[in-house]
Amino acid sequence: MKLSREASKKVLVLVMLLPAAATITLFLAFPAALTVLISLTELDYRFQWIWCGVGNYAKLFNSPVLQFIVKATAIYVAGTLAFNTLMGLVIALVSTRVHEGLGTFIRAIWLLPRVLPSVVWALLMMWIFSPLEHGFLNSLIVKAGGKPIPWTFLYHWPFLFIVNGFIGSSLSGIVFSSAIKSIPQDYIIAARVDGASSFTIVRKIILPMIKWHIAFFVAYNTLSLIASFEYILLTLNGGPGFYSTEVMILHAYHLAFGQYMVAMDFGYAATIVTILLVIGLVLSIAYWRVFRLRRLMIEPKLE
Amino acid sequence: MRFILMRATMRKRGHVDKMAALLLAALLVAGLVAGYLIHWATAPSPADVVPKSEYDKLLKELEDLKKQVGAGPAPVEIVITAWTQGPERESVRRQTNLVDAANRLNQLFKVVGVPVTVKVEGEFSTASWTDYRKKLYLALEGGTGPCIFLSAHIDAATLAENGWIIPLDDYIEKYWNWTYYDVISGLWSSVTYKGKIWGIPQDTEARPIYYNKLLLKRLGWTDEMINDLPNKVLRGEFTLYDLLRVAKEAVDKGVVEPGYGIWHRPNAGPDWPIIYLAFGGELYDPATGKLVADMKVWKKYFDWFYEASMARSRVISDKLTALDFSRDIHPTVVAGKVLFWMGGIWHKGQWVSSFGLSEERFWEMFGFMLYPPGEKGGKPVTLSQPMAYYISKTCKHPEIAFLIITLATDSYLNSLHAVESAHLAILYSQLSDPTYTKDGFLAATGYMVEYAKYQPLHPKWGEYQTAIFEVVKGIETGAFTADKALETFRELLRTRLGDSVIIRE
Repeated sequence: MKLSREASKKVLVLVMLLPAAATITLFLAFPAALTVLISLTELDYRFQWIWCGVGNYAKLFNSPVLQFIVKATAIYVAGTLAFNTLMGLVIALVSTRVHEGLGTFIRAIWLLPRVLPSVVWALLMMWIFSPLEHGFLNSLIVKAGGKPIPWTFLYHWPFLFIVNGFIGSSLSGIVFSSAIKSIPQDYIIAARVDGASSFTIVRKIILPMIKWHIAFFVAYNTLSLIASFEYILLTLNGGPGFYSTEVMILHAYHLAFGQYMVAMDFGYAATIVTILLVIGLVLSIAYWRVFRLRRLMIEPKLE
Repeated sequence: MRFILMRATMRKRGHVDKMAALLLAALLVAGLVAGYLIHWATAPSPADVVPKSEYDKLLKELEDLKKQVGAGPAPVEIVITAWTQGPERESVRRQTNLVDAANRLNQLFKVVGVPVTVKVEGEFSTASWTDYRKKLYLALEGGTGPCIFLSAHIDAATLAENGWIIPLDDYIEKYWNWTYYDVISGLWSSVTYKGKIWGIPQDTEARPIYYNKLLLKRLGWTDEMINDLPNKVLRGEFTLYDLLRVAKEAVDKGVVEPGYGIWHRPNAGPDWPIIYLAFGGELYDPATGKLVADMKVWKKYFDWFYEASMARSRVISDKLTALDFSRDIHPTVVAGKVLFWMGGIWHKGQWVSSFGLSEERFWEMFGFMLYPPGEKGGKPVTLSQPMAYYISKTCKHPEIAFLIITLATDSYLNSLHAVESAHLAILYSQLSDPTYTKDGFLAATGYMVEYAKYQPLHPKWGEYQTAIFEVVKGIETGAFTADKALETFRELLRTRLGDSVIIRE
């Protein structure tokens, strides 16, 4: 039997899609589904599937720490996102304004925190901003005759924005600066000839022309920040104080792996992860709509 | 002519050399024979060292074992894996004593003709307890755990509930006269869960409050007053609120900086319930096997911490829980900036070996006492957390593993560990072992064990423990008043422990 041309084309498309579909199912959809299932159990270090319905969700919504972790998540995501985006813009604008070689150098320097092992980076930052006298900044202040400032204590959020942001903004910096470089020089030269100031050029030409990149970065970074806790874990670990920087995903980690004597409440922890999953999905759709990212994906009307 | 003469002398010399060599050889042989004869005449026969009856008994005891290993003619090498944990590196003998014990076992096997050599493999970990337990539990659950491992006595509940370890009662009975008659009897209850013994005590400790003598002196205390402080605590004349009062005075008079009056560990750990115990609280209900939270006592507990916080007496720093043991806390205490340190006796070992405190300076600077009672006339208290060796269910040669632990439970080996790491003895015979008794610090803290309580053996104790620490952290950093803390604590217990805890109002 010979397949019709139409049918064989369909088969070919299916075959071509198979690797991607299999990967997505295996490594993304399956773990997500598993997380949702685990959240309905009392699974712990014994790996016994004891079903408990929505018991874990009830427990979470009654938990005295819920308000703290939600608040911390909101501050962390919004603050780090703002830092990453604005800092990335600054790096991009500065490094494309100066001499080509110097610009590359600036971006390369900015990549250093990203290539450092995260534990080393966290230790360095903790040392610089240590609340005690022997911290780097405090030792300078003490030498100059001042009183030591409890940095990580008074300014724990700015501290975390910096720890995370110095890493996050290297990515946005590179994305934005390559976007800026792809703007045809004619526009900028023409504007200059017309007497536009640097500020006007940035506002009227550069920003509108790289808005897609900014939109993409904001969307992408929000989603990754919701699930990011590595540097909080390595530095303040949810402290100082009662859940002051314990974001939701960090709380999930602590419930699953970080309790004294290893309680490993995988089921309860998965509840929080499931909620984050839903938030992530909702945000993805919202960003898709608000930033009209579809237009970014469609084929250009003319080449 | 000259040439011939030379050859003649050479021949002569050669002759002499040969004679000398022969004589020497004869002497050597004679010496060997004589030596052997002397040895034969004077060496004690094995029966003199070990009475024949003992030897036979040993043979009989090891007879089963011989059968178990299926003794063929060729010697078998058995590898026993062992994981142990510090985290302080001074406790490395928890691992090396097992290796030494295996060597002793090999000698023993040789003597009684068990064709087996034993080798201990594994590692001593200096990771945090949380990391160590995580690795251990997951390995045990996955069936890839070590044969022998060390963990705290409180782990017995979780380990036994999950069927990861074997009960040791039968072995202890079988080898009772080897060493177990000598184990300090109170320690057995720390490793007994649901009527069975699950672990062999490895060491124990006490958690005293260290006080800085030099700072007390600056506060106007006489030597007599300072040295009498532990006794006043014993008599119930010095309470937790007196402790607070002295610390506050030191802060107010500028003897210590604000927040440096009383320091405690910066993370979750066994110390947290001690003050609850000092106020007379109970943690475990033996009748129901559930954990207990007496809210009236917890109220006193949180009141005390609130009173000590920066919001009130400025005795406990709000930054304390953000600090690190090695990076911040030990150096600060050793530098003499803290008046009272709620520590453990092994800290002395760490200070001397890793934090540059000399033995003399230690005695000059620090005194140590039990936790004072919460109220006048009450009993002082401390907490002990014995360590124990366990044998996993997946261990292929449990009896050999047990014999290694048995031989490591030895007065000399354990005293070496005790002295090097500043832990307390587990055997009665250690109390008169010169290796142990020469250490003045261990002798001076030994009495504390009598006042020591244990943490409850319950699988949910970890969550309870974590909740205490989190709430205290909240009080100290100004997030809670005592009442708010109590309310939050109650909610935390309810949501995290459910019906594993009895909340007494």
